[in-house]
This record gives sequence, C-alpha cells and structure tokens, in this order.
Amino acid sequence: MLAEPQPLERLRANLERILGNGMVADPIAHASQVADVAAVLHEAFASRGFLVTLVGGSAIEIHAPGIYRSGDLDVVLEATQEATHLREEIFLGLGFRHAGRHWRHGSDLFVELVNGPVAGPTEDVRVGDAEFRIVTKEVVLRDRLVGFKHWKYTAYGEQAVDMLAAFGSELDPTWLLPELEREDALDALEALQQLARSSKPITDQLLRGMIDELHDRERNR
Amino acid sequence: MSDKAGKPDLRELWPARLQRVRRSQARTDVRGMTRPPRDPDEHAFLKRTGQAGPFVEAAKAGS
Repeated sequence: MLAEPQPLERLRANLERILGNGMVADPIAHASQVADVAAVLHEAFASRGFLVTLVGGSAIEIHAPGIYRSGDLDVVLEATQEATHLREEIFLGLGFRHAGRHWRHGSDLFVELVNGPVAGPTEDVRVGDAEFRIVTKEVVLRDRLVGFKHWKYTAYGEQAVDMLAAFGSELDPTWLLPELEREDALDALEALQQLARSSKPITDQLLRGMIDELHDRERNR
Repeated sequence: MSDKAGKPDLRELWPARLQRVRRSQARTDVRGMTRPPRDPDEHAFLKRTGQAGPFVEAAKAGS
C-alpha cells in the first residue's frame, strides 16, 4: 500500500531549504545535498504512484563523492499505476519549471528524465535522513566501462579508474562480471583495474592508447 | 523505505572512498578527455552555472 503522500507545498519548502545557498562545492557536502534532493523527489513521486531511481553521474556521486559534482540529476521515473498524467503536476508543485524536455529548479538544479526501464539492479539507500532508490555502484561502473571501450570516451575511462579506486574490494562481481562479458567489456575492466593499481599518470593520451589496444586485441582474436 | 534502522548510512563509507578518489585524481590530467555531448538545454544550464566540468563534449569520440 502506498504511504500517505506528503503535501507538495511542504516538499517544495524542503527543496527550497536544501537549495537555499545554491549547490555547495565541498564533495561530501555536495553529495549530501544531492541525496537530500533525491529524497524529496522520492517522497513526492513514490507516494503518488511512481518508481523513482537516481542514475548516471549523480548516482556516481552518491556512491563515491569527488568523482562527479553537478546540480544536474538524472532520474528514471516509472509510473507504477495510472499516474503518468500527474508527473507535470508534481514537478510544478515542487517549484520546478520546464526547460525543454527537462525540469529546472531555480538557478542551481536541473533534472533530466532518462527513459526507463532502469538497466540493471537498484537499491534503496540512506544518506542521513534521506532515503531514495539508486542504481547500484556496479551499474554505474558498467556504464562507464562500456562507454570507455565501445564509445571511446576517455573521461569515462578516467571516472571508471576513480570508481575502481574508491570501491576497491567492495565491488560485487556476481552481477558485474557476467554483465561485462555480455557487453564485451570485461577486458576494459581488467585493463583499467591494472591502471588503478599502478602509479602511472592518467592522461587522455594514455586512455586513448588503451582503447586502441583493446580494439586491436579484439581484431586479432 | 521507512525502516531507517536496517539500512546502513552511506555517509559512513564516503570519507574513505573520497580519500581513494583523491589519490587517484592526484595523478590524473583531465585535459582533452572526452565525454558525450549534453542536450543543448542542459549544456547551457551547466555552462551558465559554472557546473559544466572539465571534459570536452564530443559527438564522436575515439582515436
């Protein structure tokens, strides 16, 4: 059964309090602020028939502050009942304004609605009093590894190295390894793991070379 | 999601993870690194608010 929805006015006031001084710069404080915003979105939408999941860069930030920092939240909103028509009403009630196909709150917060369903496992997390749903750390790592190898984006390789450093042995291989095999990106994990363990300088040139090597090896298989 | 007691607080993990990220970033030079292009509205918003980050938005990456 759905919980009694909190009035949108109250949630809007919470959001305004969270964003009162804009988005802060310190990585830990910034991640807490993103978590508080995610919790407001969760509270507003989940009790009105939506499944709300934080994905993308802001999910990276929640799992590992310091890698990504922006007032740009990627969210998957899935309607769990005949609720789709409420979406606009809820955003407007929270004080958001339309910005193209996105939603903007004041001058600091931008919410991008990513098409669902969520591609991978999710978990319900807690950051202080803030509770919300998020893709697991293995999902955000998978996304960056695949983007590094197949789309050849070097920033994704750099973020993957930072995640490998941050998570260390906390990564759960049960879902990650078969998923990377399916995505043909297991070799990218191995290569970047080696880089994460080394003390080599990490540059665009080095990462481009690694991408070339991964593709050369594949061609010669 | 109302059972706070059963759910660990992610903040407890953050300081150690941040320390490891900082160690990794200390040997990183992000100049020239590429990421996918953002939607024009998002790009404009992040640029205006100084949140665009250091990466080069490239429609087609690769070497």
